[in-house]
Amino acid sequence: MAKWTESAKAEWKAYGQRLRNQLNGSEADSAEVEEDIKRHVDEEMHATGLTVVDAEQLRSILTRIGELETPQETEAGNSAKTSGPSNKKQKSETFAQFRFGLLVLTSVVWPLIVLVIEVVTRMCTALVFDPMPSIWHAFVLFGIPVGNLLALLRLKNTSATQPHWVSLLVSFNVGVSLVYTLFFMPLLPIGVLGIVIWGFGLLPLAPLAACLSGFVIWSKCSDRLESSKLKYRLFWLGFTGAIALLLGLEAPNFLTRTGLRWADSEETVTRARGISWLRNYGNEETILKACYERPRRVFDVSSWLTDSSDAVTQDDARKIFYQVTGRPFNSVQPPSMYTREGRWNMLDEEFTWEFDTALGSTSVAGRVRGLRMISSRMDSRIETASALAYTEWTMEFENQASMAREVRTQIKLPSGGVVSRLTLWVGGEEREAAFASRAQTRKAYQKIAVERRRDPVLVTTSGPDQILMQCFPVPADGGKMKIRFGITSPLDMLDLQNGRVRLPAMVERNFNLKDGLKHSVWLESRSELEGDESFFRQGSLKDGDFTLQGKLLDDELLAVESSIQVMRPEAVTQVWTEAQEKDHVVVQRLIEQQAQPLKSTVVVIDGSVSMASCFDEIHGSLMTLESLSQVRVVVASDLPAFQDESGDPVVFNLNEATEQLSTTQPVGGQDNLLALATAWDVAGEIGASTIWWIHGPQPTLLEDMAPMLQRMERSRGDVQLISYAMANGPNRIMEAFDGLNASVVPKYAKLGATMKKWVSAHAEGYKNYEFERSQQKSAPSLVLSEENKVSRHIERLWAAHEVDALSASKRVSEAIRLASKQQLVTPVTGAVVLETVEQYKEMGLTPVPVDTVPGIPEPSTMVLMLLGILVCLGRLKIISLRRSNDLAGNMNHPVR
Amino acid sequence: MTDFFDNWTVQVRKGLLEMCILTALEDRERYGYDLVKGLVGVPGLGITEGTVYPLLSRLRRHGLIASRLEESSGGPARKYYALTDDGREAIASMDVHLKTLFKGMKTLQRKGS
Repeated sequence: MAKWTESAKAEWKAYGQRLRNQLNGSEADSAEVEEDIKRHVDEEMHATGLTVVDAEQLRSILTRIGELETPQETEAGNSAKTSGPSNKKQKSETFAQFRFGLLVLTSVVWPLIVLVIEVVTRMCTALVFDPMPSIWHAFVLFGIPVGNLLALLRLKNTSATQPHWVSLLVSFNVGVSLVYTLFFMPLLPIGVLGIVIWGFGLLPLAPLAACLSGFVIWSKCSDRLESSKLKYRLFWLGFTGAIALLLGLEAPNFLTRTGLRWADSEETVTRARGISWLRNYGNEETILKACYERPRRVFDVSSWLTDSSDAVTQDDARKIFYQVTGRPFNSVQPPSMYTREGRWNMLDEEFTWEFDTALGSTSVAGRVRGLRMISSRMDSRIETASALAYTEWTMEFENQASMAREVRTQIKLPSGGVVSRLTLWVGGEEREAAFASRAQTRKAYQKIAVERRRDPVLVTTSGPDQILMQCFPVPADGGKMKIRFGITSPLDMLDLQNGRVRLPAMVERNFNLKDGLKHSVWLESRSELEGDESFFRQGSLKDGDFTLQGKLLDDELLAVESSIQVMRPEAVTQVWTEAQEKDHVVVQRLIEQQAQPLKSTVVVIDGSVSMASCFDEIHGSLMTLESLSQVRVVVASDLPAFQDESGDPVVFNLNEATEQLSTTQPVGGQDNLLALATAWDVAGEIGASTIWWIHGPQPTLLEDMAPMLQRMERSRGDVQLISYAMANGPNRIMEAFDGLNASVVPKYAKLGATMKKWVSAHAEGYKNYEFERSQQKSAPSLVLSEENKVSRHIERLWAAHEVDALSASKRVSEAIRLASKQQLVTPVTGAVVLETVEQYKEMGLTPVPVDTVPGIPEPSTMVLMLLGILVCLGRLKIISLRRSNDLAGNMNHPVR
Repeated sequence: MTDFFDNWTVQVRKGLLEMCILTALEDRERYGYDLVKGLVGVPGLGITEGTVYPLLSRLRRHGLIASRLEESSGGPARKYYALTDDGREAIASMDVHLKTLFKGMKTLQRKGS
C-alpha cells in the first residue's frame, strides 16, 4: 500500500467534501462512492508502483478519474451541464501545464539566461559587484537552474518516486538564491522600474524569481515525502548548507579584507599585524582586486561583513600588495574583473590594460594591449683615444590595438652616460629634438602629444644613469612609430690601457616585444673589442676598424656577461676638442689617482622576497668588507629580528649581520627608505662616507621620500649612496635621487667581486684612473697636439659633469642653459621632438640644428655643413608644402 | 450540426450507462477497478471513472447489483459487484425494450425508403 503524504491526505479530504456536496440529494450513497473512489485510487497507485503519494499525484489521479456525474444529472439530460466535466478537465490540464511552464521559466530559463549574460559580459561585475568571484561561486550559481530542472523533470513524472536528494538540492538552491536576493535587494526597485521603462530590469530580479519558484518546487517535491518532519528537516539541511557554503567560500575574502583594513591602519602595531596576517592567511586575488576596485562601490559579501565605509583605497591596496607579496601589483595578471579602471582579458598571454591610465605621466605602469617593439638596433662607436662610447639606439614600435598608444620605457644607461641626441621619424623624415628645461619639454609633450595627439617623443632622466623615454601616439590598428636616441658615455677604466663599457638596457616597459625579438648590436672601434663569445662575434672592416656584432635578447642586455672590454692606446692620456664657446677648448685628461683609504661603511640590505635567491650571495659578499675597521649593516625588513620595539631598524655589526642573514628568509616587499635613513644617520655617527645599498627592484614607494631627501640634500656630499641591484627592475627610490649624491654600480661582476674590487680600490697605494675634463680658453700658451683632437663628445661629458655641479650648488638656471646649449638630457633638462616648426615655436622651443647632433661616425665639419644645408633646403620645401596643406584645411590629418 | 450531434450522443450515452453496467456484470462478478476500466474502454460510451461509481451506488441501492469485499494479496481490498435477480430481470426488460425500440426504428426506415 502506498503511503499518503499529509498534503495528499488534505487533498483527499477536500475532494471527499466536494464529492459529498455533489452527491447530496442524489440516489447514490456518497460515503460509499467516496470509499469506492478511494479504493480505485489505491488500485491506480498499486498498478503504477507508487509507494508514496503526494497531493500532486493524487490530484493527477483524480483528474484522470474525472468529475463526478450524479445520477440526477443522467436523468436531467442537460446538455450544457453534461459537457462540463471534459471542459473542466481540459481547463485543469491547461492550467497545470501553464503552471509547470511558468516554473520552468522562472526557476530554470530566467536564472540561466542571466548567468550566461553575466559570464559573457560581466555586466553586473562592472556596474555593481562580482557575483561570481571564484569558479566555485559560478558552480553554485549554475547549480540553481540545473538543480531546479532536475527537480521539475521528476515532478513531471507523477508516477516517479521522489528521492530525498531532490528535496535537499532544491532547498539548497532556495538558500543560495535567497542570499543573492538579499544582495540584489537594493537593486530590486531599479529592476522593477527598469522593466517598466527600459525592459531590462529582469536581470536583478532573477535571484528573487529563482528564490520564489525554488520555494514552490521545494513545496511540491516535499509533498511526496513520507512525513512533514522529514520535509522540514531536509529543507533546513539544504538551506543552511547553502548559507554555510557561501560563507565558507567568502571566508578567504573576509579574512583578507579584515587584514587589509589592519594593514591600512594608522597605528604601527596594527599595520604590522595586518601585513603579517595577510602574508599568512591573505588571499592574493582579493588584495589584487582591492588594487583595482573603487572602494566606495565595493559591496560584495566580505565588504558587507566588514565595514565598507572604511575601505582601503586603490593606492594603499597597491602598497599593501607589494608589502605582502614582494611584487608590484601590475606585474601579475590582473584579477578577472571588469571595472572602470580597466577591462581585463584573461586570454591574453600577458596582462594588459585596455585603457592606459598612465598616459602622459612619468610612470611606466603596466603593459598596454596591442603595443609592441618590432625592431631594435644599437650602433655604438667606441672612441679609444677619448675613452668614450657613443651609442645610438633605434627602436620601432607597432600598435595593434584599436586605440592610439603611448610607449613608455625606463632605460638604464651605461655608467656616467648622458643622452645627447633624440630623433623621431615623421613621415619617413628624421626630426631632431629640442633640449630645454625639464618642465618646458614635459609641458610641450603633454600639450602636443597627449592633448592634440600629434607626434612627440620625450626623454627625461629618471634617476642616476637612467632615463624615461615616452612617445605618443603610436597610431591604432597596426600604426608604427620609430625613434632613436644617442648616449655619450665614458669608458670605465681599469687602467690606462683597458676600459669597459655596458650597453643601455630597458629596466621597465609598458609594451611587449615582438616574438623572438633580439636587439641587433653593432660596435666598432679603432682598437680591438672583446665581448662574451656567446653574445658577440668579433670582426674587422677594410678601413681598419674592429667590430663586435651580436643579437641579444632583452634580458641578456642586463646580464653581467654582456659588458664589452676595450683596448686603448696607453700613451694617449690627454685629448681635446674645440668647444662650442668661441675661442675655447675642452681638454680631457686620464689621470692616475691615489686611492683614498676607507675605514668604514654602512650596508643596507633589502629584505624583500625578491632577494630570496641572493641572500647566500650577500652573506658571502659581506665578508669581503672584513678588512674595514667599521662596518654597520641595516636590513630593511619588518621581521622582528631586524626591528627594535619601536619599529626602527636594528643596526648590526658585520658578524651579527651575517649570523642573522644566515638564519632568516626574506619576506614580502620591504620599505627600504627607513633603513636607508637609519643608515645615513649611522654613517654620520661612524664617519663613513659611503652607504652600500644592496637591493632588488623597488617598484613601489611605501613611505614619504621627504626625510631621506632632506638627509641627502643637507649632507653636502659627505655621504655617497652606492646602489647595487641584485635583480633587474624598476627602482622608485633611485628615481627620486635623480641629481643627488647617489650612483649606480655598473654590473660588470657579481656582488662579491664588485665589493672586493671596491674595497681594494680604496686600499692604500692602489691607483685609480679617472677623467679630468675642463674647458679652457685657447690661448697660445696652451699647447695641444692636433693628433689628439677628438670629437665633441668629451665636451658633452664635461658639460654633463658641470650641469651636476651647477645643480648641486643651486645654480639651476645656469645648469639648464648649459645642458640645453650642449643638447643634453640631465636631471634639469629634457629632450622633446615635435612634429612641426609651428609646434616648436608655440612651445617656445628650438630644435637643435642638424649639423650639431652627434652621429656614427662623427661626421667631419664640411660634410656636416653640406648635409645641414641640404636638410634645411628640404625642410623649407616641406614646410612650404605643409602650409599649403594647412590652408586647404588638412591641419588635423597629418600624413604619417 | 456538430453541437447537435454531440448533445444527442450525450443523451444516448446517459440513457445506456446503467444498462452497460448491468450488461458488464451479466456473465460474471467483477471488482470495481476492473469493471470501471472495462467500461472506460468501450468505444463511443465516453465514460469516466467518476461517472461509474455513483451509478454503481445507485444500482446497489435499488437492489439491482450486490457487492462484497475481498482481501487482495498484492493490493488493497477489492469490492466485487454482481447482478442480483432483480438486476437480471431489469437487464432482460431493458433488452426487450431496446430491441422493440430498434425494431420500430427499422420499420420507420423501411417505410421511409
